[in-house]
Amino acid sequence: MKAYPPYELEQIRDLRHLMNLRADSAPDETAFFYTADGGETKKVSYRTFREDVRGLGTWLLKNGSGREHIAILGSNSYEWIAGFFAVTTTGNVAVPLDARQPLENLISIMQMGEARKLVYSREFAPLIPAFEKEIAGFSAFPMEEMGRIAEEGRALLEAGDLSYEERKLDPDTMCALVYTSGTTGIPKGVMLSQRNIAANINQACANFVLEGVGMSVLPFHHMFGLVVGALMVFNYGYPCYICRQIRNIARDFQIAKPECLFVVPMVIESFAKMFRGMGRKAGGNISPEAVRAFTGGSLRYIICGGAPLSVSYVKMFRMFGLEILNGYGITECSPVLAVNRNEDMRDGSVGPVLFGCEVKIADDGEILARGDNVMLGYYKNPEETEKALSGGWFHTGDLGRIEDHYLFVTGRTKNLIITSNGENISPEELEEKLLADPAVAEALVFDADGVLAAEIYPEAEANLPESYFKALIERIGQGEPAYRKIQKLSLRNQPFERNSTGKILRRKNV
Amino acid sequence: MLQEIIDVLEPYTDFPPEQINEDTSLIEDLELNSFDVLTIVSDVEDQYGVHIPDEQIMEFRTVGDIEEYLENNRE
Repeated sequence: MKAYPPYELEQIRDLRHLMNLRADSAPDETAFFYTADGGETKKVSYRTFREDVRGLGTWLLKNGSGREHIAILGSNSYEWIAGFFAVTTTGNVAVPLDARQPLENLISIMQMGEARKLVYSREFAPLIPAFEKEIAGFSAFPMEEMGRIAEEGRALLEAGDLSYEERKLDPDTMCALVYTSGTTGIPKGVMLSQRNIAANINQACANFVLEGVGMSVLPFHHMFGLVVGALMVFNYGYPCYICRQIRNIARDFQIAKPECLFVVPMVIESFAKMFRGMGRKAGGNISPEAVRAFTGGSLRYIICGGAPLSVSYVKMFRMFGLEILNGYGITECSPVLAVNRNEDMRDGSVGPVLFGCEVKIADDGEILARGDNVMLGYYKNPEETEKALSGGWFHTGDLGRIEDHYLFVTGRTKNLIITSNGENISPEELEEKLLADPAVAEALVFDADGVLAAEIYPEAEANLPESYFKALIERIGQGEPAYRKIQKLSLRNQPFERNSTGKILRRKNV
Repeated sequence: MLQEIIDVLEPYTDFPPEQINEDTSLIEDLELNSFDVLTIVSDVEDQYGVHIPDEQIMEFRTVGDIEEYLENNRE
């Protein structure tokens, strides 16, 4: 392949540097825009954004120690981002909460993360009394009051309070504490520093270039939604459209007219259904023009991460003139490790490893990573930290291989099936083979009393008998050693249960 | 009203529209994922000028559930 150098942007040191760079170079350009409750489009310039953050930050320093853990709970909004910046650029620590978690989990994460302050959006107001009861010294601020708080802070600034400007940020102390949901086990608090997040923004912007509006639909409490969906777009100097409710995505396409969209596989699967349905209604296949119109007219790239996506969607969307760029990341790496590039992609892979980040494959197949984007450790959990960072490399828990210079993710180490004679089998690899058959909608491979078993959720439209799937597993097993052959098959009549990012919950389903 | 809901649902599913009725399950029969349900509800909201809260959406199991909600809450 011909040399394909990194895209070159000024390297940011921390989030305050990022904010100042944009606000100094293009103060009146749009940083964020969104559709307000009344339906009107609201735009926020880089200058206004910095004024808001400075005001909020000054107020926070006046009303706190500047070393507090402050939780953020709310659906995506401009206020969420402004709050996150205000907390992290004052030396405080942001603790993003997953709004879909049940109340007891939210409380326990605040307790584990030692957060006593909460910034929340109004739909969570009914939960506040429960927090007050369970968390000593609790106080809360609704996002809807942030305008007033920022104004108070600005008044302090004007009266000569320079605490925000004079506050030094240590690049290597924690600025965000992100609890990973995980598919099993108790959540772990990932400690990320300014250097971690800034490094990942620099690295990701070197691999992929944006040339228009970026549309953010994934929740900001996930590092993919926040760092890639919003901060990376901010760093390019293009407007970031905040889709406040994912259900309004069709309307928001027409308002935002994005060049790039950041999603998880479930959204792509849903679009694919919609496109097929629209085609059927039109008495044939949907045209690239109709897809173009539906997506606002400017969409070129869809960056997809969070869970594996079948290659068939990449091919389908390419026919519509849309390039799905699969990527791979993990919260502990702030989060991105690899992504397919604008002009350098390989179907089935998660793309080249980011510039400035090292990835190698351990002898047992595990993907290891090293670089400024790797977390400081798990909060108050030296044991897990030691395990995850042993030997100076972060152990992702994912299995993979590098072919050419493309990274392929083949499974999770913890899902490995170890047979009685010590052979390792990655169920995901076999599932991928099953899923390559158009009659298979979903599949899980697992160990059933010492033999390999597969459970398949067939495509309803195909309407095929069980014998078809028996023949399929035999075909897949041809030429494979006995321990890699699937011996048991069951069919199910409903999809597998998934978590909020669209990952099939392996342990719940098997 | 049922027919109007079916018109909204149709593009999202491979299930034959003439077989959709009140008892048709959104997940098992129509094979919708949670993102499908959210976008469908958004279309329905536009058509009927109602707002359906997220917590309510999670309660919908069948086509009839959506119909019943709209009948009780439309302007």
